[in-house]
Amino acid sequence: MVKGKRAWKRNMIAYAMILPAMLLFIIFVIVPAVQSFVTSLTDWNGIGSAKFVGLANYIDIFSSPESRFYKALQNNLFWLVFGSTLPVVLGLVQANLLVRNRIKYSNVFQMIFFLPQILSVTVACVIWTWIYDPISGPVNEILRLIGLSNLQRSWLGDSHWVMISLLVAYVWLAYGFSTVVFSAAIQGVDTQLYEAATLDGCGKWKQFRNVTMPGIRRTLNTVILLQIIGSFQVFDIVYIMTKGGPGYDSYVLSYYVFSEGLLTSRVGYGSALSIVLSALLFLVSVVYTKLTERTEL
Amino acid sequence: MKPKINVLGRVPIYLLLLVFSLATLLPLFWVFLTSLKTRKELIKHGPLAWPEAWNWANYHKVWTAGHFSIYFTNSVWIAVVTVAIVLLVVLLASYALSFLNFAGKSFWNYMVVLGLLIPFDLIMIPMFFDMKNFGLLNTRWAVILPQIALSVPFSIFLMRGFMKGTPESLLEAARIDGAGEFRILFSVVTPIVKPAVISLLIFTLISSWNNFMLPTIMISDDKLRTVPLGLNAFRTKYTMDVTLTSAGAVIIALPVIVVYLVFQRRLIDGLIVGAVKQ
Repeated sequence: MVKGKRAWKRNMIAYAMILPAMLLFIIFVIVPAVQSFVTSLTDWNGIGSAKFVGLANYIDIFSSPESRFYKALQNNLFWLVFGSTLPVVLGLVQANLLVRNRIKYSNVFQMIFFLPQILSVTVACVIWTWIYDPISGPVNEILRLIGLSNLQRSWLGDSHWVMISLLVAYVWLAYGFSTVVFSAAIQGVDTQLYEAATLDGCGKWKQFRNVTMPGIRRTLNTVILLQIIGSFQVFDIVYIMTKGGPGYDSYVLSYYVFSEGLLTSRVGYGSALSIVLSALLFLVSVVYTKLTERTEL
Repeated sequence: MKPKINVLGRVPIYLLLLVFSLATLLPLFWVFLTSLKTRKELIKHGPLAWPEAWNWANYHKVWTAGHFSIYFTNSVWIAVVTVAIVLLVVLLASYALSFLNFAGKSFWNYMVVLGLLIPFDLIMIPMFFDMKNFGLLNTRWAVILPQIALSVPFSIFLMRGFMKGTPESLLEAARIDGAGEFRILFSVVTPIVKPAVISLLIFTLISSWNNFMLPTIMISDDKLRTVPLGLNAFRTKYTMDVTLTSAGAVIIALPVIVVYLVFQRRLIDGLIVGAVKQ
């Protein structure tokens, strides 16, 4: 009996320690996640009583002519492809330059590249909205000064350019993270491998391909995965800079969830969208992880 | 012996790095310059001109008439309470999950991993209506509580990783001396993982200060707005006055930049551990 009593006491202490964190987590994360599932099966305007409609919201998302789902998905895919490759490529180049050339003040450079990352997205958006401003913004002003006035446009108001303009702002904001992480990873690669490669007559490019890349593969895969996850959750930039416009040209899934569920009060529909978004995110992450695991073998 | 490096050959590399640095810093510097201009000046000389004088009037106007003093207080309040509670609950939970054996332990570890996978988009709609039902909508707690809850999985994940490096023998020695688990956590383990605690502190502080989506959903009352919300509302209200909005942007960015410069290495190391060891 003594043993049982001691075990009981040990459990009590452990639960006293994990409960504050876990209760908050369950109430504010797990419960709402379950509520999303339930709400997605209803038609609800947020005030009256909800009506059970089965899978009607999901059918609407995929087949209603008014659905913006495919437009938003297309923009998310654009973001997925370029938002996860451009910062990674830039980061790889910079980290390689910094570490492999034993650059002086490497820390200062890293600090500068990482700086935009710590700013509020709101600040970054204010800066870039102004940079793109058709009348008083520097981009159009510079184009005018170098005699390319015919290229001037409303960068955020042009349906062909809006996503590219947003992406440039995003890359500026986000690339420093990969530079810093890759720098740490490349520093961890055994220097003897580089010496051996040099002796074998490998040039810079071959060293990069055959020593650096395999050495940082796991970090590379993790960073790309984080960028992929992030690309599904892009919200702040779109909300602040374009509100999905012009028209629906810069709609992304995250913003679509927000605008349906909380702005226009189609709560059930918005919830169904959020489930679809999460399922897609999960699917892409699993596929990516499986693919990278396979290439590692 | 270190291999010789061709000094001249490195000049282009330095130049390239300088170009990258300029591209990164220029937008920030530009906004600072704009915040010192008057509106008339901006229209007259265009966006690329140097300011005529060090004119701090925009800052005064934004701080008082623009309500930034109120937004600033709200942001500080929310950030400090969030950080304090996150540190406390995360230290407690990470200790139990690292060092204690108890019924259901693997279930709770599994919950932490599950938490890492749940996107905010999935929970934002029900969270809004829950807060409405709790009567917390348009209060600071509607931001603080979910913010803590959302940071729990990643923070425990990070902290547990650091705690695992603590030698068990230290804990055993303390137990033999009759120290209770809470005592061991705060006077043996916490001092050892102090660097991780500081990383987590800075990281949570900056995330809270910069958070945009959650406060946007929870707060509509101007008196309760945080600085990012304030700046965005301000921007919408004074669309034409770039100089004022620029001053607002500098006011938000400055405290974070100062914290960043002081704790740079701590913050980055914490992030790297989070990203690389995942």
